[in-house]
Amino acid sequence: MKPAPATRELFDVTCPFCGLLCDDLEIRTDGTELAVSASPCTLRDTRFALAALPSGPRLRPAVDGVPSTLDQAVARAAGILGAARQPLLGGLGTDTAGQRSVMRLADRCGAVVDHMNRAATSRNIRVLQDSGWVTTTLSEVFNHADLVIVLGQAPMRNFPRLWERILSTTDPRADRRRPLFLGEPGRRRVIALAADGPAGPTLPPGDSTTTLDIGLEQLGAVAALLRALLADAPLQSPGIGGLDIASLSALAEALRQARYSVVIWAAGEWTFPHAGLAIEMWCELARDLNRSTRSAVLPLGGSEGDLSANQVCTWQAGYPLPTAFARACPEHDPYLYDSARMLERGEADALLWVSSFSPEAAPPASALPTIVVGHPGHAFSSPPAVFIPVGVPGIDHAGHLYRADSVVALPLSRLRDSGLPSAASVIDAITGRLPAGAGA
Amino acid sequence: MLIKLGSGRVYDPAHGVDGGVRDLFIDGGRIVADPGPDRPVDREYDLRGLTVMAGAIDMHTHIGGGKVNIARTLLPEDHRSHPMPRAAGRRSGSGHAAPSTLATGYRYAEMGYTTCIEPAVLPVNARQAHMEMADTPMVDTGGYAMLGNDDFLLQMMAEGAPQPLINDYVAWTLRATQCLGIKVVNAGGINAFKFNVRSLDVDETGPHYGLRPRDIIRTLSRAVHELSVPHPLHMHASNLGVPGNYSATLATVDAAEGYPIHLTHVQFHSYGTEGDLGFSSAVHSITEMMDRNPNVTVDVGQVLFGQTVTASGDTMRQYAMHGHAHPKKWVCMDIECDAGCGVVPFRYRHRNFVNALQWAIGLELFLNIKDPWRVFLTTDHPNGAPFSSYPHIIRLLTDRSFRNDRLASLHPEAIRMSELADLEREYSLYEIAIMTRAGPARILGLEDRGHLGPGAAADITVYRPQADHEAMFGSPVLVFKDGELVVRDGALLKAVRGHTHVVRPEYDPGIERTLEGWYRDHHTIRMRNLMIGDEEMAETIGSPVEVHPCRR
Repeated sequence: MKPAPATRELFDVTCPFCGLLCDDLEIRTDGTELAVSASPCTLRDTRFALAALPSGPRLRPAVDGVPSTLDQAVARAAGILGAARQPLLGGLGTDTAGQRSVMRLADRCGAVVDHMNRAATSRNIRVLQDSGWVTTTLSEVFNHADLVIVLGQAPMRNFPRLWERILSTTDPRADRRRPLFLGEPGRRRVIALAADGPAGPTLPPGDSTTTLDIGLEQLGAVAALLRALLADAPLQSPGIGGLDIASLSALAEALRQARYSVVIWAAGEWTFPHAGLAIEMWCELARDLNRSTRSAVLPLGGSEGDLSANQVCTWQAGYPLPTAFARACPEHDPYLYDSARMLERGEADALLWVSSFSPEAAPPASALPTIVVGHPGHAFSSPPAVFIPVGVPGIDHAGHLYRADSVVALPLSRLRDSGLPSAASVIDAITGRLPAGAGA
Repeated sequence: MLIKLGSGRVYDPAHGVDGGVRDLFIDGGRIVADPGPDRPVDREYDLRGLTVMAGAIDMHTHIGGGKVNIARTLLPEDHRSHPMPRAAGRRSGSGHAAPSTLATGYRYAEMGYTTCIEPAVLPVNARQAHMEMADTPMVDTGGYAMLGNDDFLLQMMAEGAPQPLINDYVAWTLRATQCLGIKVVNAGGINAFKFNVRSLDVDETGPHYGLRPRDIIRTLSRAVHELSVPHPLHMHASNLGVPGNYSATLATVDAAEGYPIHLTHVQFHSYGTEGDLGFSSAVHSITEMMDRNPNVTVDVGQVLFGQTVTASGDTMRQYAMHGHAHPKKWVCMDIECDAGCGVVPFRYRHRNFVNALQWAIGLELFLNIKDPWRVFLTTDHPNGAPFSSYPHIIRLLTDRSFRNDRLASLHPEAIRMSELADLEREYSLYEIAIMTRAGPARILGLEDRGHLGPGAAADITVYRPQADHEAMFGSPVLVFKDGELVVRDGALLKAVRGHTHVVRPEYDPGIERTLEGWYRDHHTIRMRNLMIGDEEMAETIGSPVEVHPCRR
């Protein structure tokens, strides 16, 4: 008779599935099955369910759709990358260790590196590179911010516990949890702009919350008008969208009166033309306010390891993503090395796609020889040249991820013994098998 | 393997060796005593006519952590104009003012440096600092954890917490962040800036907690001393860059009440208000204070001309200086009820009166401080200049005619205001070895670094003597790291990994119960997840710790 597996209880476990990296999870596990208890979060529950180990061949590597040994798969991957004239390392859904391995491989084989969320990250980074900004982090928002402006739907939708953990000043399940500097009871106004979606407004109703109806594409103009009002510039404008000049003036006055205001957005949904300029306008608004009071912005990211990949690339190469190692030195150009554009224009001849957090982030359709280092749940309409299933960071192996504010790196734990290798170890193995002199 | 370095001219101030011809022996990565004629030597290097020193130690260089990566992100132009190609044994990189980590490690090794300490580790950002330093090859690293603006400490002090409890928190912080010392940046000022306070002098009362910077400086310098942490409280004083700030610097020393205190980048804190332009050198006030207070050490933070980037935890002062940004872009950030950071690119100009006088003030400090064991060579990289300029500074210190030629090219009013032309001192090689090796090792408590006696780590740099000390120190003949030859004739032979130096004073674990509640109730990360374990350092971060004893 098999002995019953010992049940372990783990506390303060970090959830790797969105940029909030909530680290208050309690997990019961027998070494394989995972039972999570924490505040409700649909994203987390979905992703943990997807991480349940499939049985059978999906846990084994495959070459041209045929199950293979890890060694065979690694050898084939190295052969493809070694023979390529311009390899592309994309996806990059991994932890800091995985990204370190990607960087080593890229420098060896002269690849371009780019993350699947990079278009969104670049919208923010370009503002930083062009003019800079004043930013803040989650705990500062929780404790200091007496006025928070949430732009768009993505902050509340893609960061499901943002309200509970950061914006709300009370927690019904933890009565001692309260902001340090907002008095008793904590007073924080939260105003959402462009937050209405098919499912209605995303902010919980209440005395402290307001939702203002405006289109996402008009947000840049809203910030411009607010800046003009705060500068006491004469305005002919009747307002914009559903916001008349009286509501805009009230908003400007609220910003002027606030002791510490914060503007939050998530750039993934800012897909309209010149969205970067709109983001810059909000950053400049916060900078203007700092002449007399305190204000900061907080662009949220951190999904699929995007901020982690960007941080590692920046410290190792000197540039954010995308970065190319096609010549002897790293080069950064968000247009030239945009992976989607390169694939569309046929400027790459091999693709390594890393995606270890979910099976949904599949490689883009292309005719290139493709290596997928990914979540075991990946399903393919036509099998890639090489598929190597790897563990989910924070479930199958320890590691680190950067949080939404790109400042705090949290530790990830190994919660179960799946036998799946980490993306880092697989990529290192591929690098080790590259033909001598490849790319050099 | 027994390695012999034969007949070099050795400068080893820790043992009083001043250019004497000596043989050195290396076994298992350590320097050993002469094993005698019976033990065969496996490899011998003939160092006749060459100069031998321990590997150099940079005790204050911003090489890792969030602000450095923000500086890198902010300045793609700095990186584009300084590409570093991959080559045999080395990976590619880029940058001059804020180089990539790999490029940083290679360049330090090529200058004969073997240990670098990151001076501004925010506890909540310590993982990033250690990850970046782990990706900085060739050198051992370490960090000073920043306290003195964190709400937990200020709350404890406001409630009148007894000193032993504060000592527990300080010791816990060192343990949790895997650091070697404690740093204070603008005591209470970063915190006050979050409450919209724009300046805070040492004896002014800050917002919310009702504490003066003086109280914070005394409490933390005492804690570091009582915990027997070798490195004194590492102090970035109040009012950085403000004309007349020397008085705040003196008040800072006064606040330490005799406890050991290290004033970092003191050049930026030695300014008077004399002269027609209201800006002058107050170096003599600083050196007289040092004569009266043997508990004080300093590093200089020398300014050199050209483009760089300033990266600091001092949000209050960085925000105030943002109008000087060149190019015109800058970042300020409030961080996690812990501290903050500000990144402002800057170009120091030799024809600018203030910049020229800053350059002269740094050199006046070096030349007026008599005891080389109490002053260390830094540029506060990259704030005064990139670290790659150290060989140039050594030439300025050792060669008076070179120095005076440079001085002559500066803004004429700065030349008139400075006494530099009259300072005759030239540093000897022995004094350079003190200031860049033996001194930093002693002040950091790295008992097995910075010297060449038996038991020391075999971090050794060999130079070819030349009249031009910039060329000599810029390109050593040989560099050994832990006994391995890693650089020959100024070129990297192989990349190696270093360790992380830490100290670990004991504390009552009861403090963790208090902290656990504090983090749960007011933060967005759990206390256990802030703490970095030894296994995490060795495995996922990639830089195993080396624990040094706590004793004074």
